[in-house]
Amino acid sequence: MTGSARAALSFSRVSLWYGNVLGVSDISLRIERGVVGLLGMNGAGKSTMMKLASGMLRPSIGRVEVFGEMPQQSLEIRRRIGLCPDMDRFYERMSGLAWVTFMAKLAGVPAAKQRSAEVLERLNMKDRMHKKIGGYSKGMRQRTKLARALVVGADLLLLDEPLNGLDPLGRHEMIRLVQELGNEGKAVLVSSHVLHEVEAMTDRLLLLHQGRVLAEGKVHEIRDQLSERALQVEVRLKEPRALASQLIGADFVVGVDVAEDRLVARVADAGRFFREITERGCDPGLAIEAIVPLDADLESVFGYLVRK
Amino acid sequence: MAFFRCYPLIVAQTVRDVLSSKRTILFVFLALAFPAVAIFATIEAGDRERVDELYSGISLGVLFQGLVPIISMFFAVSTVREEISSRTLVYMITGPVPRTAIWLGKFTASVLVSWIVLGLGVALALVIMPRIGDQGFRAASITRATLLAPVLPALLAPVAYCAIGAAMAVRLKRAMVTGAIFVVGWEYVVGSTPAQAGVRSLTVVDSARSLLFHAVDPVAAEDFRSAMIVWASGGRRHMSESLIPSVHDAVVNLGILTAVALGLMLWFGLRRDYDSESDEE
Repeated sequence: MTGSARAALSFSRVSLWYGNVLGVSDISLRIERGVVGLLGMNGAGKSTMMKLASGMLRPSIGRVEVFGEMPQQSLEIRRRIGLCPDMDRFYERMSGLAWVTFMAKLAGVPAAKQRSAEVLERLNMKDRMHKKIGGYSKGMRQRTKLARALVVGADLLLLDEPLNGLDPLGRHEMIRLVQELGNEGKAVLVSSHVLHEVEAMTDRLLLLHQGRVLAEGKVHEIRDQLSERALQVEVRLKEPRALASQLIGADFVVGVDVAEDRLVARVADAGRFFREITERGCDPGLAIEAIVPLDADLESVFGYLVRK
Repeated sequence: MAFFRCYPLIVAQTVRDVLSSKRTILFVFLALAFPAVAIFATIEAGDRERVDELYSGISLGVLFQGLVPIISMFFAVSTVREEISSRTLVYMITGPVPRTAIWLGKFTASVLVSWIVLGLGVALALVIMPRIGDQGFRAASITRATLLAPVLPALLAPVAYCAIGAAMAVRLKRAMVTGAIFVVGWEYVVGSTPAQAGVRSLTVVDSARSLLFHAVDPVAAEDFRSAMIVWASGGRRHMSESLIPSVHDAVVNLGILTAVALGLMLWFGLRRDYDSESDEE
C-alpha cells in the first residue's frame, strides 16, 4: 500500500474492555486529512478512542493503524501523532518553553529550543513561554499541550476536548487554530460533548454513544441517514384543529399535538409532509403563519440517534 | 537510536526536577542524621569506647538499616510513581520515546539523587570524624579503613534498593506503602534470620553489612565484627566469619537482586497499558 493510500487513522472492528466494562465496541472507521469532530456525551468513549488512536491503549479485539502501522509498535509512527489529552498535567516547575523543548528533544527535533519558541509564538504564547507552567491559565495550558503536538511535526492530531475550560476568546482562538491545521493538510480528530463547538470546527462528524459509532459523515449526510425518524414540525396557524383533522390518518404523520395557535406534528416522511403542508398553506381558512422544524438541528439529531 | 537520545534527557530532567523539590531538602536533613549521630556519640563517649566500634555500629544501624533503604526506596518509588499518577507519562508513552528509556531513566535518576543525598551525609562524616581525635576530644582518631568502610556499600546498596522500588512503582499503585513494608518487614525480618537458614541473601541489607564487615579495620573494630558474627549465627558463639558473605559474594548478590528487579521493572513497564484516567492496582 502506498503512503498516499494509507488512512491517517483507521480502526478495524476495534473493541476494548476495561475489565468487565466495555470501553468501545466494534468500531470501524477511516480518517483521512482534515478536521473530524468526535462527538459524544460524557462517558461515550471519546477519550478511549483517542487513547487507542495514540497507542496509549491496546485494543482487546481489532486493529488500530496510524498511517498504515500500529502506533504501539512503531516509534516512527508515534512521532507523527500529536495527542492533546483531556487531562491537564505538566511538570509544573518548568516553563512552557522548557517543557515543549524537552518534549521536542525527546522526539529528536533539530534546533528544538528555537522550534519550540516558534510554535509557542504561533500559539500566542510569546510573552508567557518563559513563565512556569504552574502559573498558567487553562487556556495557556491547552495551548502548551497543542504546542507539544505541533513541535514534533505531527501529521495526526488527536485533540481531546480542547475547548474545555477556555474563555470565549480562547475558544475562538482554538477553533480558528484547529481549522487552520485542517486546512494545512493535517488529520485532526477533535472531540467534544458540545455540538456547537464541533460544528464550529468542522462539518465532518463521528457520533459516538456508549462506545459505539452511531453515525459518521457530514452533518447533512447524517441527517439523511435519519429518513425513517419521526421529525417534529411546528405549524403556527389560526385554526390548528382544522389542520389536525386533515393530518390525522395520513400515513406520513405519526401523531399530532394541538395547542391554541399552533400544532406540532410528528412526521415519518418529512418530504411528503412539507409538500402537503405547502399545498394547504394556500387555504385561507387555515391561515398558516409559519412552519418550523423543531429538531432538525444537530443537537436533536444526536438525541434521536442516541434514543434509537 | 531513540533510546540513547531519550535516556540521558530523561535522567537529567528527572534529577533536576527531584533536586528542585522542597521535599528533597527534608531528606537531605534526614541523611545528615548519620554524621550527626556518629559525631555526637563519638564525642559523648570520649575514650570509654573505641571510635571504630562506635562508628561501625552507627554505620550499620543508622545508615544501612535505616537511611539507605528509606531514602533510596523513597526516591525510586516517588520518581516513578509521580510520573504515572500525575499522568505526565502520557506525553512520553504516546511520543517517540522508548519505554525502556523512560523506566531506566527514572531508575538511574533515583540512584543519582540517592547518591547525592546520602553522599552529603557520608561525606560530612568522612570530613569531620578524623578531626575529632585531632581536636582533642579523644586520645585516638578513627582508622582510615573503618572511616571509609561505609563508602562502597553506600554506593551499591542504593542501586539495588532503587531497582526494587522502581519495579514496585511501575506495577503497584500503592508502591510507597509496599516499599515501606519491604524495608521494615522483608529487609528487617528476613535480614535478621540466622545466616545458616540461607535466606538472608534475598535481602539487600545482608550484602551491605557484609561489605561493611569486611571493610572495617579488623583490629580497631574487632568487637563490632565479633558481634556481627554472633548475631549472624543467631546468637551462637564461637562461629567463624564464613557465615558472613565475602565481598565478592556480596557484590554478586547485590548485582543479582538489582538485575532481577530491573528485569521485573521492564517486564511490567513495557507491557502495561497506562491509562491517563484510571490508575489501577
